[in-house]
Amino acid sequence: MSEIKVEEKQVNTEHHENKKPREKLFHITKRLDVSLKYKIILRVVSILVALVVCAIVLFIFKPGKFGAFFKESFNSLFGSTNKFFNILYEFAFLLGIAIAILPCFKMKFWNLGGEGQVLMGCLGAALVSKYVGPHVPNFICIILMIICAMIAGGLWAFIPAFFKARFDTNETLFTLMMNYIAMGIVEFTVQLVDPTHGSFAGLTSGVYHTSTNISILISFIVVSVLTVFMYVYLNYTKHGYELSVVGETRNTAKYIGINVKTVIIRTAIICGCLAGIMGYLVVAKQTSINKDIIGGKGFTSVMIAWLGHMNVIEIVIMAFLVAFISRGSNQVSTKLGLSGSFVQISIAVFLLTILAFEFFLNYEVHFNKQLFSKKKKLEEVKE
Amino acid sequence: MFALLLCEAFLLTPIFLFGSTGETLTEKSGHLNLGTPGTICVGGAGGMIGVAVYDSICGGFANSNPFLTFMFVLFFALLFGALSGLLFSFFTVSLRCNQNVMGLAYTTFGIGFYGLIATLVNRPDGFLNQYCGTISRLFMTRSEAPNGFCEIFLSHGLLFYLSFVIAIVVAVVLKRTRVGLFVRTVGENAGSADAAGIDVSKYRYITTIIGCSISALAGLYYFVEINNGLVEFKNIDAYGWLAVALVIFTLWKTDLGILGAILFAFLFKLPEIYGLPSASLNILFQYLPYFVTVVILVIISMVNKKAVQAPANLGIPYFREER
Amino acid sequence: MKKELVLQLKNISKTFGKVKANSNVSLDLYNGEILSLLGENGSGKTSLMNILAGIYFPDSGSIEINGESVSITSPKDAYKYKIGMVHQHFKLVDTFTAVENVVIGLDSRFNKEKRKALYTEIESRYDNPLGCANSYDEEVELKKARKLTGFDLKEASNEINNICNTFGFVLDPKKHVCDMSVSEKQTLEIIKTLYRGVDILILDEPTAVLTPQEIEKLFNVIRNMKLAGKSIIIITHKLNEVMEISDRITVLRKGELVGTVNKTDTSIEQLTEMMVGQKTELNIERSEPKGAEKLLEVKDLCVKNVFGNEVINNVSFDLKEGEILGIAGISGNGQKELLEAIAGVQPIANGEVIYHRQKKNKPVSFFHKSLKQIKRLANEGVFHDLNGKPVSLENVPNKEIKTQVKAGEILFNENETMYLKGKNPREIRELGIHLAFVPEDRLGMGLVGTMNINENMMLRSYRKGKGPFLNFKRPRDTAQSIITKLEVATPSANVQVKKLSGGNVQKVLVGREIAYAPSVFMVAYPVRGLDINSSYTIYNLLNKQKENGVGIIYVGEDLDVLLALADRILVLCNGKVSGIVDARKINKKQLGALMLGESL
Repeated sequence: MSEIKVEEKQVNTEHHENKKPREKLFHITKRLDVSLKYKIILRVVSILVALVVCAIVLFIFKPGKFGAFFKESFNSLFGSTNKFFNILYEFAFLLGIAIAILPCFKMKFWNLGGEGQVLMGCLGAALVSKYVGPHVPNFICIILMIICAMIAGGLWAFIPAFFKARFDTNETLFTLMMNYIAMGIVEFTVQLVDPTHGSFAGLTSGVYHTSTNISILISFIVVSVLTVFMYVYLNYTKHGYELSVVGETRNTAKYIGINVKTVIIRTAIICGCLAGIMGYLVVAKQTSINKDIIGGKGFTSVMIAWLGHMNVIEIVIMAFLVAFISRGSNQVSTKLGLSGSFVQISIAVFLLTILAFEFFLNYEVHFNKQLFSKKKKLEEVKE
Repeated sequence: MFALLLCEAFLLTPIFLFGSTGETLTEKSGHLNLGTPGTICVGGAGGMIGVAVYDSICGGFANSNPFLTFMFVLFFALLFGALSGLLFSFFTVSLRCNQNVMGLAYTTFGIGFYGLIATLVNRPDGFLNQYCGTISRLFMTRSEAPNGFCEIFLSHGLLFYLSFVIAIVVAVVLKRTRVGLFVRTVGENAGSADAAGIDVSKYRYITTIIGCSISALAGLYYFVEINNGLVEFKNIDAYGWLAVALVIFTLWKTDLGILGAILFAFLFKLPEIYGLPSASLNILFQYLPYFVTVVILVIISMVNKKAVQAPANLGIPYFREER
Repeated sequence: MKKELVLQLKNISKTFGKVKANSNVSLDLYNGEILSLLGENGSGKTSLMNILAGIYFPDSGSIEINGESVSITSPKDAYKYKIGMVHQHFKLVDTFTAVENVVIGLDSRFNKEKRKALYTEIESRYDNPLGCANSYDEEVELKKARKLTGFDLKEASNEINNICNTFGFVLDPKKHVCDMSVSEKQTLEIIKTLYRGVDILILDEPTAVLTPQEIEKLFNVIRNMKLAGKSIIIITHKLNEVMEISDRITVLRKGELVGTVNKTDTSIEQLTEMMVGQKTELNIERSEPKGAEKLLEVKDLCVKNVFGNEVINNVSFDLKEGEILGIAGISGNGQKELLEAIAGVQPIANGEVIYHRQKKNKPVSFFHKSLKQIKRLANEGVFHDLNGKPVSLENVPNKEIKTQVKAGEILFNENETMYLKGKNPREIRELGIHLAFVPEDRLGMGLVGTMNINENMMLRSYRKGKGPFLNFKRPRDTAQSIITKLEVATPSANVQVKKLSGGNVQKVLVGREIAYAPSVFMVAYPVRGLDINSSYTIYNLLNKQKENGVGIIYVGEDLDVLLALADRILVLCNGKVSGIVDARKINKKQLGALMLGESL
């Protein structure tokens, strides 16, 4: 019993620590009910603010040019046919990859490997074009290119998915590393096959021979078809239903007897195949391949898919906005003599601003009204 | 030959080491910062700005003091790194945004920032190169005897040694001190940490800011020691991703990180120095670090032992009133 | 010891979205007493205590400690006011050792003060009234005390051992948490709070995970703490424990305070009434079970949880058609695992689950069997014809077989038996067995919270129909009929299920499972969190199913309902069957004894 007394003593020595009650200025709670109206208003506001923030960033680097951002951006959209098609291409490219990785995201499989999967698709298509192309009719070559691209992209998504399903390996970093391994394989193959140019330059089979604008239009149409397909696949098919159940709760999936492993692997392969098709489109337009051909668009698309709330329609809008910002700031930087890197900055700033606004979608801030009124009263007293 | 390889590999090591030490510290507090490549770029840009600011203050290279240059460069790199960390934690701690998206966006930003600053700061007279030359010679103890012991171990600037010191200090702090224990708690189980009276937000903010500052030094090192003040971008971001990978490779231990960084630098330089029979195989070999990382990742998940796993709350924002 | 008021909660309210967790709850606590916080699940006990522990911040109301009004904004504040809480889901770091878990969160100031306290303690032990020089022993001890630096795990280990000795715990400070048993983890949590020197200790459902022996130990420890002048609040819904340990009892219902009583002035019956609300007359019309045919047979079933402990141990019983088999037991005694194992959600370690399809003297059909299967079964001599003669389909052309089957001329000799062990829910469904299951965790297992009612209807049936596309028509019709028939309060069928109130969520789930036309229907706590009207809707639905010949397994917590609704009651205790009794011939007291593992 003596030791219990010791306890009490210690307790007493610490009592003086109790100070005045500290009040919280505000506290945050989860927002449970979000109306569609609030969502739309928040989105519109966030996009407008994001544009303004982009303009402010420009202002920092080029003082006095606040308005130029808006002027040049809109000029890049409506300025000329070529400019419009440039935006269209960027839009199709970003949308295509975002759509390709969307099912994985919906399943909460964080596939950051869009870049690598598209690149492998490019490689598959380019190899077919180079080696098989000259020996077969063009349309067969195109079909073979697409098939090969899909297989290559699918394989690249299958590998991390297999390990995820089997051992629950961290897919975020796995897919990230797969991007660089894909780059390595592309660089290796190009070096092996075409050491002089280093880019397979001048592919002739299975690629667009028509004018750039028409090839862009073809890409756009294909991506539109893929988008519609994905919309239907996610919302109207059994597979789509299964993968969203798996993404929401594994327990429910088990409860109705969905084989979670199969669904993970199947969905990843579909992602990879679609990314592969995007790879074909890239090769068909560029008629060449190198390791930097995707140029980080895989990452941008990840952000688009996420900020589009994994909803096809929102993703379309987000992809368009990013394409708009991208081309717009490109024009800004050329006009104002800034480095081309301004494009990346403005895309990042745009996306970051929208990301920040997500907070208001998920949380509510309650200010401590009492505290504020107290302050006010104090001020009044002072006066 | 081997001495040359050692020499070259050591020269590259601090990039990986700074990057992975910073990232490890950040990850230990539960932040998966995919913005590290961006932070490294921003750190490099900070170095450039530091040189430019000092240049304008002292009024030309002729009047400059190498030590002051170094302090300016270091200050700006750390400042930009800290700001990166502050921004990252503001988004992920205060606004509870998705860390992956935030990280990727910040990486995009960092790469762009480096490029933009490079064009804004650079002048045709190559003053950046001049300044960086003096900085890297500043703390160099000796540089004679090509490829000998001195060249391999003693011919480096202060930043080189700093990277090792920081790695060891971080390892000791994480392993042996109270603060280290708290940081690990926050990363393992933020709910427990909170219930035990640890201010989760504060800890995440501070560790991320310090971690990013350390990562930013990788960019500075790259700019000063490897690029010798040239503003060409090449691909710093690739080093950044490898630094992120290195964190897993070394099982979230920064002392192991020293060995890991040396190994990665070895793998990187090996094909360059020795040269494989064919140029294409040489290229493939350069990607070995990524492949090794994937293999490690799989092995770790197969072993499935708690001791080798990532901090349990890695990537999960903490909200106390979760129900 | 003088009774002093140490803590007062005044009119605390807290809401989550539209859910009122607490409204205007007030509570007093004196030193050296054990207060039980009693209430049903979801009555707001844990929320209230989380407010006290700094996890939640109240919307309104005030907290007074030792007569001073305080604001607890974080767990750190709570510790400052000497309040410690042992959460139901332990807040421990698995990869750390016990001692590391104890010291997390303690800053250097804590140790400094501890040191200061130690000095005073040493000095007072070697009392030098004349101010003369310290004795040698005192010098040595003071030196030792001075050595206690900011961060010393060894010192902390010693301190933990001291606490263990004082209160009668057993714990190895160097053991990693991941290697600990549940009871050790709980011990560690309590030590963690004692190490910080708390005055008010809150225990959230401390006995839910313990064996009777461990509970006895825990209660001894709690009594020791009470003797040391600490105040203890125990959150629980177990009445006998309340009566055993507490001094006073505060009862909550639906987030509101019902009242506070002294243990000496109350009885289990009164507490039940306070907890559950006014005693309502239970008028459940119970019909006699119709058939006597076995529907489901469970034989020596064993189930292990993820930690490898047996949570279901050699359970055997059978379920007849048209009866309700109630399952009683203290929650967490294997009810959840039993149902999940039968449904194919949890793997079965040992034993069998056998389904008897009622096919004796009934014709075989292509609904359940393919042509190939029928041929194979015929070879095994399973069928007889309309005249009772055995059927052999050897050398009979396929076309002929088809016409015979369609005409219903091939009949089964016996009921079909099907073994469900090792089959997942989908495989069970593909056998043609309609096994409906309303799990305890409605939104986490039975439904998908973020999907709307229509989409949730599809969970069972989405695979039906050929082709890759979903059929939206039928689920929509089902949803509509459930909404109208069961009076689900929702603006439309396009509302996310998680936004509905608990009762409506349950109606959607039960409705869907009934629409599945089950032959075996398992429900776990179907009326939990429901108001009386909704509860009766559910009881009536179950009775209707029973009259249709469905075999029903009903896991419930309300013994009155079980006695009024079920035909037989199986009592589970620690994963074992402690009795299967006729619900018409047993009373509540006997049932309670069985639940505690005593024999009648």
